[in-house]
Amino acid sequence: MLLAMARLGDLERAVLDCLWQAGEPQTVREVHEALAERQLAYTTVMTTLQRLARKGLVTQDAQARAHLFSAVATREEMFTELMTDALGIAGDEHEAMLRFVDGISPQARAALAARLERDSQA
Amino acid sequence: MDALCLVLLSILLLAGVSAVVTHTKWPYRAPCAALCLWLAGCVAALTGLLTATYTTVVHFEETVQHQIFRLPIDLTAVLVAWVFAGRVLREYIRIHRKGTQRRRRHLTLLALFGKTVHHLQAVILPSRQPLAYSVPGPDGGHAVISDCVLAEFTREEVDSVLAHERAHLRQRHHLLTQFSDAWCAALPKRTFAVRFAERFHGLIEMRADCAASVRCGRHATASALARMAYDKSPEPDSGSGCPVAARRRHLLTNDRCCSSLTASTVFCVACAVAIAPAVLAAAGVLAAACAWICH
Repeated sequence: MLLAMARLGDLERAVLDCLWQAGEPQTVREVHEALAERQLAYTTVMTTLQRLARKGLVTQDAQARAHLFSAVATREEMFTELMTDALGIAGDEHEAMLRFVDGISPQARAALAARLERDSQA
Repeated sequence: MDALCLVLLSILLLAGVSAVVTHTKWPYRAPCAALCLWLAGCVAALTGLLTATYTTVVHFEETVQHQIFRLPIDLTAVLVAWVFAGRVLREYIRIHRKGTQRRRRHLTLLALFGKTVHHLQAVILPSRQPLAYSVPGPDGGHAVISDCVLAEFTREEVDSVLAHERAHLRQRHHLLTQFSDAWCAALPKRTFAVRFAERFHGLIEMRADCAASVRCGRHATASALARMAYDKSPEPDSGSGCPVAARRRHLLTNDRCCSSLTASTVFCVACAVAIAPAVLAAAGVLAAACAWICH
């Protein structure tokens, strides 16, 4: 049924938040220490990171001596990817994007205009 | 009937049905019947092709002995038809794989940012824009709406939006859409393919509208549709070629979906189209049997 959606667990979200906040690749030990207040086993954190890697949300660098994990994209980039895809699925992507621009705040619109201007000059 | 005639009949039926569905206006008055007609055309084309192949194989020796000049023509026709069918199948597999990957990624991101509302049986996406769509997947897929829809639409409108999306999931519309997209990708004529794809997607949406109107009423469904499309006009423009206006018009002018005379006629034509190659092949077999008995 609809409610049986494979949701990300709280722990997976917490681990991902930890990676986003760190901003650089983290070892399992570092993530484990960052989540110390949860009193998790080291192996639990490792399994969670590997599960996130299987879901394509985290990359694993196996070249380093200790495996390094990092988020594949920032939180904002992932949300943008989701919204862009949602607009594409929901209907006319370009039309929907124009409506999206209509709905954003003046500050966000100015930032968008500046970015478009910069891109067009590049 | 010989193989060449059957292949030509298959092409004629499928191309004719596709052209009628794409270039005429009545499909907007009878969307379910139009979809049924196109599917009947596909069934007829496949039946014709299979019968042509069977005829070629069964009568191979006879053709070699008595009609040697016909053989290359029949074989070429059957081969070309199978190459096209293979192309459609290959495109379908490609589109299906790509779509599955995309949906899997989308569901992962949705699980990260979306919120499941149990009493609505839907996933709510944080967005200031009215959005509603369905993501097919394991366990029946997911209906997704933005929190803007939940906040700004009436309860009846939200219900009809969700009923529309659930109809897409329940009736497995993504499989039909993938098939039509594969057919379009295999077509050599791009302009026609684009027009056909637009029309087909519009008809699929109308089919889901029908399901929503049965569940939540046609006025609530039409109202939700207008608000989704930012259409503030109280009545849809009758002269507009806009698919949303056509969908609203269809909802507001029909008490029941596809209950018009046009729809009934098209359903009958669809049945005739679907069985045409089989009937012609059966007639050929009967004629041959009669000739053999008389002989």
